[in-house]
Amino acid sequence: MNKFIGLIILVFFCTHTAVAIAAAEDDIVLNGDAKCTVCHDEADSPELLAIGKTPHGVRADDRTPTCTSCHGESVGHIEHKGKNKPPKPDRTFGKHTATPAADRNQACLNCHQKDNKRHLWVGSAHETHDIACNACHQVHAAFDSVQDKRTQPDVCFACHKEQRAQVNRQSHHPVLEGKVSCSDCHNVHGSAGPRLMKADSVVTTCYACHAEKRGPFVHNHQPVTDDCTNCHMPHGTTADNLLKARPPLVCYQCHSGHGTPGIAGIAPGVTTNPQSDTFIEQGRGCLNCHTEIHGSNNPHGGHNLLPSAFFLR
Amino acid sequence: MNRIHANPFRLLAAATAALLACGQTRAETSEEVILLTTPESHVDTGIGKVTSGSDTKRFSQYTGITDNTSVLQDLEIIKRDNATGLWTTVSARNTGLETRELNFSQKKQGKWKYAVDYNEIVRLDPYIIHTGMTGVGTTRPTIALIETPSMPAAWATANGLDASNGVQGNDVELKLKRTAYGVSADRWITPELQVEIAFRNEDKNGARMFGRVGMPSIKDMRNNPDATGASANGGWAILLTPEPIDSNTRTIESRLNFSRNKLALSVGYNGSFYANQFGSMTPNVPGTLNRGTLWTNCATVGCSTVQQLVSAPVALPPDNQSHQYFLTGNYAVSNTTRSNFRLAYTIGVQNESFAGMGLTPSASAPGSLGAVVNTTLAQFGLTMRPLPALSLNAGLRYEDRADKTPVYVYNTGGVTNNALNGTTNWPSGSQTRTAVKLDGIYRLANGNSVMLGLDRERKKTPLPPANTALFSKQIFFRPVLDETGVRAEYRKAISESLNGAVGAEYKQRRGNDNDWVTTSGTVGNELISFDPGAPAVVSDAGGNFVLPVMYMDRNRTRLRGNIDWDATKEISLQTVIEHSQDHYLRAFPASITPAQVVPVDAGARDITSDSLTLDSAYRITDDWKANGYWTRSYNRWNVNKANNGDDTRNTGNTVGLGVSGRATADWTVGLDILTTRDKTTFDNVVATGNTGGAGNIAGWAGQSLPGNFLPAINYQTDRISLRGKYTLNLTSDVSLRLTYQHFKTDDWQWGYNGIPFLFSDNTTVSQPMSQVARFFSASYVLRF
Repeated sequence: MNKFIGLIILVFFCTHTAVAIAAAEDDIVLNGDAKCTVCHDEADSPELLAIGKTPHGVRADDRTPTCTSCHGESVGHIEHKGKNKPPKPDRTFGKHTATPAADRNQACLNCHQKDNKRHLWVGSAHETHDIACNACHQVHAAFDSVQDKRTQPDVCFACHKEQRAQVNRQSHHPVLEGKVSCSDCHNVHGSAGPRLMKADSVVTTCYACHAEKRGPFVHNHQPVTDDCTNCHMPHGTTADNLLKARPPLVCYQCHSGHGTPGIAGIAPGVTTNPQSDTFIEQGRGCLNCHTEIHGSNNPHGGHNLLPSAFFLR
Repeated sequence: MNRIHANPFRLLAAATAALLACGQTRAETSEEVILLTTPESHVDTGIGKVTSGSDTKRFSQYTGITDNTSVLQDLEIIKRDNATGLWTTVSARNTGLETRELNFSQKKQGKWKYAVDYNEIVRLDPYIIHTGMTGVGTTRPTIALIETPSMPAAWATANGLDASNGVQGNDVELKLKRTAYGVSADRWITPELQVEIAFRNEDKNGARMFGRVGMPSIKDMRNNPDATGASANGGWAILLTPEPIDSNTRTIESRLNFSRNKLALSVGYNGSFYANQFGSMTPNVPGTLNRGTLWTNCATVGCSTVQQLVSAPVALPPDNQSHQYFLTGNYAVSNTTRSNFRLAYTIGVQNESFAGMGLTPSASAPGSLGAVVNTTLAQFGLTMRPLPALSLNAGLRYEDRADKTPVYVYNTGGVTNNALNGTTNWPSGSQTRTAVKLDGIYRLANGNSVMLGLDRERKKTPLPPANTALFSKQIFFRPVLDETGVRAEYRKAISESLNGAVGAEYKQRRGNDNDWVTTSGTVGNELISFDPGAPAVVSDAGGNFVLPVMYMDRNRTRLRGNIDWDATKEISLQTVIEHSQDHYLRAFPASITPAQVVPVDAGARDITSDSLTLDSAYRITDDWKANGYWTRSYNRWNVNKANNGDDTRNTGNTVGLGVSGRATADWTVGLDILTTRDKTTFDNVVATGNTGGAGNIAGWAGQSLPGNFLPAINYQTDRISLRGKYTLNLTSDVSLRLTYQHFKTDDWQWGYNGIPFLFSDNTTVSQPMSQVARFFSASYVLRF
C-alpha cells in the first residue's frame, strides 16, 4: 500500500514539476513564452525574437510582458491542430489586422498608461483618428526607428507627407541633419497644447530653445506673444528664418508698411534713389531697420535716438 | 521502508534529470537564440571629405562638415545584465564633427535610471559677408568704410557714393553654436510612485544677422534725407551689425508620478532660466560712410547727428525666467469612460536691470521693467464609449495669460514733433482663451467609420493701456473674438487592400464690428471706438497703419483625403491630398469712401496651401526594395499693402526615389535621389499713380507693367546618395557613402542685375548661387 501511495505521489509530483520545469526551460525570450515559441522559434520567426533585445525582453523585470500579454490568450490559435491555417491570435498588429486600433492600444496602455507622457492620450488627435501604437513603434525590433531622432522623421512622414517636402526646403530646422526631431516639439501621445505641441502652447514650445524671444520686453510685438506661427512655418520654407513669406510680404498681413512693392525696389539698374524700396525688399527686408522684431527692451524710446517702440533699437 | 521511501526520490531525481535533458533540446540552440535576443553594440570609425571648395554653404549649414577632412566616429555600446535587468549604455555620434553627441546611461529596469548627455548643434550662416567691420560677435563692432564693390559706374555716381575712400574688406562668415549637457534621473520609490528630475544647461555662442539703422525720421529713408529735405547725403545710415550671442539657458524639470488602479497623476515643477551675457550692443561708427558725412541739419528741430543715432546702444535680449507648477493625470471612471486633466500655473519674470544691460532708462522709468506674466491653464477631457461602436469625446480648455507688468512712461525723448513722447511701455498682452470641443466617432462594420466634431473658442484680449497712442486711427484692436468650427471625417475600407479617408474642417472666426477700437492720436488718451458705419478718415501716416491679422474675421477651411492601396503583395501606393485656406474678411464695410479705403484694403486676404503626394513602395524581391514619392505643393500668400495687392505664390515639386538591396552575399547597397524645385512668383499690383513714383525712381519711370512685378525666385536642390556596405565577417563591415548635392538659386535678396544690396559702409552679402558639394566617407564598423 505504501509502495502504491509512494508511486502516486511520485507520478503527481513528477507530472507537475515536469510541466513547470519544461515550461520554464522552454521559454527562450520572455517569461512564459514557451507556448508560443514552441512554434515561433528561431527557425520559424527569428525576427520576433529580437524583442529580447528590447526593454520588453528583460526577464529580470517582473513587469515585462509575455506574448499573451499583448496578443491575448489566443486559445484557438494555440490549440489548433491540423494542416489548415490556424485562427489568428486574439490580437494581431499587422497592417491588415482586424483588431481595432483601440484594442491594440489598450494592450500597450495596460502598462504604459501610467507614463506621464501618455496621460493626455485619450481624446488626443492621434487617438481619435485610430492611430495604433504599432503604426509608429516596432515592438519586436531591436531598433525602434521612431525612438531615434535620426530616423524618427521618416516614421512621421509616412502620414505627414507635406512636412517631408517642407523640411527639404533651404530654410529649415536641422531635421534631416538629425539634430532636431519631431518629438522635440510635439508630444504625439497627447498634450494640452494645440497641434500636439509638447508644451502648453506654440510660443512656450518654441521658447524651450529660443528663450531669448520670451521677454517680456519694454516694447512687445503682439504677434510674437500670440503665436509664432503667425509669421513662421517651422517645418521649412523658401524664405530665410523659416518665415512664411519674405519681408515685407509677411509683414503686410498686418502692416501697410512703407514704400511700394515692385521691381523698382530691388536695384534694377540705374536709379537715383533706390534706398527706400531697396531696404524694404532686399537684404533682410523690413528687418534691415526693425531689427528687434521680437521685441525691444530698450527703455530709452525717444524719437531722437530712434524709437525702440518701432523695434528699431 | 527505507527502500520504499528511497525509490520515489530516486524516481523523482531520474525524472528531473530526464526533463532537464529534454530541456537541452532548446538549450542546444541557445547560441543562435542568444544572438537574436542579446542587445548589440557597434563602433564605427572612418573619415569623410567634402570637395568643391567654398561652394558648400547649404550642405555645411547644419552638418558642420566643411571642406576639411573629418573624422567620423560613432559608437553604441549596450550591455545588459540579464540576471538583474541592469542596462549600461554608452553612445557617441559625430565625435569628429561640431555636431557631436555623447550619452551615458544606466538603468535597472523598473527601479531607477540616470543619464548624462552632451550635445552640440552648429549653424553656419549660408551667406558670405564682405565687410571692413571688426569686432564681429562682440558688443562693440567697429565699422570701417570699404571700397564700393564693382557695379555699374552710373549707378554709383547717381547714388553719390564715396566709392573709393575706404579700405579693402574681408569675408566674414557667421556661426552659431549650441553646446549642451544634461543630467537626468528617475526612481521608482514604490511600484506606484516614481520621481523624475532632469537638468539641462545649454550655452549658445556666436553671431547672427542683425542690423543697425540711424536716421532722424522715417522720411529720411525715403525722398527727404533730413528733416528739411535739403540734403541727399548723410541723412541716414544702415549697417549690418551682427548680433553678438553669448547666452545660457538652464532648465529644470521635476515631477512625481503616481498611479494606482484607475488613477494616474503627475505633479511637478518646470523651470527655465535664460541669461544673456550681453545686454546691449554699441557700434563704433566713423563720421563718414558711403553717402558722405554722417551729419544732418535736422539739428534745427532737435535731432542728433546720424553718427550719434547709429552709435546709440541697441538692446539685446534680456535675462528672463519661467516657473511652471502643474498637475496632469487621467482617471478611468469605468471601463468605457475615461477622463484626463491638466492644471498648470506659470509665472514669467523679466526684471533685468537696464543699467546692467548698458541701457539708460528715461527719467520716469524704473530701473527694470519688472515684468510678470502669469498664465493659468485648466484642461479637462472626457471620453465615453456608450456603445461598442460609438465613441464620444468632450474637451474643455481654459487659458488665461495675465500680464502684470507695471506701466510707466518710458519715451521721453523730448524732440519737437515726436509723436512718441510721453508714451508707455507696450505690454506683451493679456489674453484669455476658452475652448470647447466635442467629437463623435461611429465605427461601422468592416473598418469604416464616421467622425463628426464641433469646436468653439472665445478669445478675449484686454485692450492695451492708455498712453500708447501713436497716430490717430492707426492701430486697430478688437477685444473679443469667437470661433466656431465643424469637422467631419469618413474612413472607408473598400477592401482588405484598399482603404481611404476624406476629412473636412470649417471654422468661422468673428468679432463684433462695433467692438473695433483704435488709437486716439493724443498721448495720454484712451483708445477710442471706431464706427465702421461712419468712419472718419483713417491714417496711414508714415506707412504705419496696422490691422493685426489676429483680430480680423476669418474663415478657415481644411480638406484632406488619402487612399492607401496595396495593389499587389509587392506594391503599395498612397495618395494624400490636402487643402487649407485662411480667408480674411475685410474688417469694414465696402461702403467706405475711397478716401478711407486704407483699412478696407490693407492686411491679409487669402493664405492658401495645397499639396498632393503620391507615394509608392515596391518589394522587388526578398532582397531588393524600392520606393518613390512626389509631392507638389502650392502656397498662396495674398496680402494687401495699402493701395497695392501683393499676391505671392510658391509652387514646389519634391521627388524622392530610393532603391536598396543585397547585391551579392557580401554587399548591400542603396541609392537615394532627391530633387526639389521651388518657384516663388510675385504679383504686385501697383495702384494707379504709384507707378514708378514712390521712390522717385527715375530709372524706372516709364517702364511698362507687368514688368513692375518682382522677379520670380527659383530654388533647386538635387541630392544623390549612394551607400554600400561590405560584410567582412559576422562581426564587422566596411561602409561607404557618396553624396552629391547641387543647390541653385536666382534669389535677388542680396543683389540683382549685378548690383549688390549695399550697406552704408559698403558691406555686401552674397551666397554662391550655384553650389555643388561632393561628400565621400568610409567607415569600418565593428559589431559585438
